[in-house]
Amino acid sequence: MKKSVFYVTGAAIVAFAGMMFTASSCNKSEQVVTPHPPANEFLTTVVMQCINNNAPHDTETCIWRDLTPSGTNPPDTSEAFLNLARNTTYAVKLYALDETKSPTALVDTNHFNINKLPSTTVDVQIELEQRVNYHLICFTLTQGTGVGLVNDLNIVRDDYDNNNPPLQVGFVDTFTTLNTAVSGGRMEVVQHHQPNVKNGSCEPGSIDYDVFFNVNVR
Amino acid sequence: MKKLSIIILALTLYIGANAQDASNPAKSADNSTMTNGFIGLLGGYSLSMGNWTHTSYITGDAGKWLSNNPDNLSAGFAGNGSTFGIEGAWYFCKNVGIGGLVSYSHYAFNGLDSLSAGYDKSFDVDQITTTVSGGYDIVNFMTGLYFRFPCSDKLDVTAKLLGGFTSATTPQIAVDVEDGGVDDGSFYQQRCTANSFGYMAGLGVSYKLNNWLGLNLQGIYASSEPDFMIDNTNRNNSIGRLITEYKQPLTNFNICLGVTYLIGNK
Repeated sequence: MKKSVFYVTGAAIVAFAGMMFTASSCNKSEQVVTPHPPANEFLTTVVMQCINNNAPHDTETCIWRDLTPSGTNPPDTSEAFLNLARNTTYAVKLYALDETKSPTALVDTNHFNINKLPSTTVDVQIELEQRVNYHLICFTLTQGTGVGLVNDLNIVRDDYDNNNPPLQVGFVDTFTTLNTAVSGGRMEVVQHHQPNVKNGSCEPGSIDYDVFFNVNVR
Repeated sequence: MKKLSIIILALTLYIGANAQDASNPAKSADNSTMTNGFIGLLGGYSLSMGNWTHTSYITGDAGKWLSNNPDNLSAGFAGNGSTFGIEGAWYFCKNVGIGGLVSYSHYAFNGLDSLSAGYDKSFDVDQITTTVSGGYDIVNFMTGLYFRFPCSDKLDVTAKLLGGFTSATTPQIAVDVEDGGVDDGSFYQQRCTANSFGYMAGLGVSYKLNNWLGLNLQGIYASSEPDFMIDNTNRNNSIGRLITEYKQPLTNFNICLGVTYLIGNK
């Protein structure tokens, strides 16, 4: 009987020590790396539409397109021109499209209407606007001809995200040209992807697209 | 839980009636094998129960974590764990005693994959690395009534109803964001400790190996509801799961084995 008591007690103590060991070993860190699933949509086309505030029929549209995001072919910049009038204020809207599935029905500057896209064209902008909290559009003007675009065009971002405090986004903007001489130059438009690092400046994060338009003010 | 409370209340009344003629176990003539109390160690497996075990990460348009969704707010990602402690009781009459229990329980984090995938969906980035440290820890300091119902000279059915102080700590969650070859840094849901009232109800059997040593097997239901006010650091944008306050019942059921030193046996 004494032997069995000894064994049972020993077994209980060993079991208890095992449980304590298990509990202490559970305090280790656990890590999971989650890669992003393959994207269903590409960002092939950036459209900038400028509507004259005083004459809404005066709408200027320019398009930058790269149907081979892998870089096989150079981007199509044949419609990446923007002609603005002097001393005018424009309401500007940026659109991002996926035209990989509609290479034979591309949008063009003369007939662009975001509400009448070809059925195979994907309006990526809808999703981007749902993710405003970590996107930022940055504009960079290159001096160019005449008095220079830097001195002749003022750009203000009009839309804000849901961060606290709200930060600018840049999908909706106001362009104001000055009443000066004719000028020209290049406008670089960069969409920054800034997950958890958006602070209002252009530096943090990665880049979703980096496109340019040739701009004339006359 | 209500049923358990009713059963324990009924047992208390029954035992109280019996106790009137056996108020001093040491002098009672018909219970020569009864002890006056015990002190012992216990440990075992702990099953987490209720909302804090849920692993919901519910998103809306464009992967946005829904901050008003009740499932999102109550999900605690708690897994199962282990528990161990020390307890003792003194029987002031034949079947009823007072005592206490101090225990520590640790619970693993459950659903790390879905949490990390949720953050990835919300941030729309190339890679999310989610690291959980610590798990849930719960320390109980309980006191209350102990009951015993002798079945034979060696075997008792036992029950207890305890209440007291519970201190619980949540795990730390670190999320590292990487996109476009750029490491956008990490943000943290920090570990948080909160205290509250807690209670336990237990039922088991104890076996007397000899005059001074016993073993017991018991099931213990425990619950508390601390109000965690959680710090989130380096959280720059309002995207993805963000919990700043967490107040849900930390309910668990423990299956424990114990070894006891018997006191005052004759």
